Amino acid sequence: MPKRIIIAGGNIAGTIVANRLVQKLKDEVEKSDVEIVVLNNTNKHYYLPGQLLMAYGLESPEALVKDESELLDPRIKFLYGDKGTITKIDVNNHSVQTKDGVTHNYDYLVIATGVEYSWEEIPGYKEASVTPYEFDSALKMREELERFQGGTIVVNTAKLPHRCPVAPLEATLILDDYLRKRGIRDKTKIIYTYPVQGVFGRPITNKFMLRLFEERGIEVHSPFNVTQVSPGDKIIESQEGEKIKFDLLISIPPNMGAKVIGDSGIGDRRRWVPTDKFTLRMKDHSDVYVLGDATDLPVSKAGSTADFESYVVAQNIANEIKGNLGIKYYGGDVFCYIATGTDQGTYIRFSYTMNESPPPPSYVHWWGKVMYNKLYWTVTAKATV
Amino acid sequence: MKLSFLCILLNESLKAKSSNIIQRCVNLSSIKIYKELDLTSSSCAGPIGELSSVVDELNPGEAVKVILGDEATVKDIKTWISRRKLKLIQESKEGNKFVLLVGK
Repeated sequence: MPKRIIIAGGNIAGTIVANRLVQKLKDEVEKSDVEIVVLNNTNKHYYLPGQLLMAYGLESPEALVKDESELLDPRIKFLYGDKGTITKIDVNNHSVQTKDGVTHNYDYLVIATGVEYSWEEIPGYKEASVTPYEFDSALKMREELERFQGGTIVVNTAKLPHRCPVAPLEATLILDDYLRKRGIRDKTKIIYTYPVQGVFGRPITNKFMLRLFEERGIEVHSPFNVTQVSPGDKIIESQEGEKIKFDLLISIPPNMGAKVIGDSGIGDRRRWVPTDKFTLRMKDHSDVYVLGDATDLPVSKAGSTADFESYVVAQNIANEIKGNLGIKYYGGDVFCYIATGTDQGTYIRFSYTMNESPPPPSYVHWWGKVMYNKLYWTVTAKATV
Repeated sequence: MKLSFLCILLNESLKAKSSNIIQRCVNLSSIKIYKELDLTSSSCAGPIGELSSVVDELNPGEAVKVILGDEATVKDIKTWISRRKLKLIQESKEGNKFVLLVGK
């Protein structure tokens, strides 16, 4: 019997780690000593970081979607639809069940089930807002902005942590530049609302961004923990007692781990999977690894995080199977480009032991962001570096 | 995890001299640790951002164990606890790390 590695979930984290694993275990896979299986509910792979640019008309919808089967190495067994939709993860019996009723046993499991948006936590929030976090809503946001002629736009982050932590900053700064270039910035009030004091959780970036927000005339209301939104009156309310009337609301929805994590009883109350911050093993389960947005780690839920983590997970599983490769530890590495306008950007690079040092916004970093997005399909997703 | 002791000697100010140690009797036997949050490394959400969503999930009688790496963050968290009207159940030091038990 070959050793079976199951990757629960596709998209960014699942795809990169699967491709990296097959490279590490090339000989074993070709001799059928190892089988790598990816289970995913769909064959569609969305490049989520690109949706923000699409919402401002800076990226086309077709550039953000490809078939998962085109991205995975052909030596990987890929199941999707009912055959790939996981209904239960049974870590005690080392198996997962899929919607077609099949039980898949594993020697190693990699959980890459990502996040789901829990809109229902805030009454009226989904109905009253547009968001770059969902593909269809990002297109609606583009249309609403095209029609927009002035008024109050509120950018609200519902809850921390959430996927792509810099996106609220980007959404606000691109918006400011977009409105200036359309000649309607002076007719628009932009209000940024955030659950904790400031505009971002990391002190260095927070200070850097507060200065930029001040220069751009963006109002900051924080801490602001949204409790409900009235779609009819267009009013957003906070736990702190504030009520703000808006003409357009751009939302960052509350995030939770995938439903299957809750159904399987392996997550915390927000369905994040307990994960060791260095080994990326699920706590108390040495044959289960977790990466990407699914972990409960206090690191960024970002594509780059999943990429950095994939080196650790792939290396350590390959090391356990082949031996003598050495063990890798995750150092909390994150890299995020931050768009500060429609043609300018900066970036932050940090880890558990290193703080960021964002450079002044420039076209060079915008270009870097755009290129990083373009190269995703051919370089990052295919784990060629 | 159940904490089995009823009273603890709590060093209120971890840099304080021994004469400043305050004895506080805390009923910890009924407190259940819902989750341990290692915030010694800074994250994008920041320590308060990470802690706030976990605190929202706490049930009565539960606490979150927060591990912090520096005194400035301890001070920020304590200010936030006070503003949010939460409870600082216990404060201690493990090696060079600061440990807070926070409840609702």
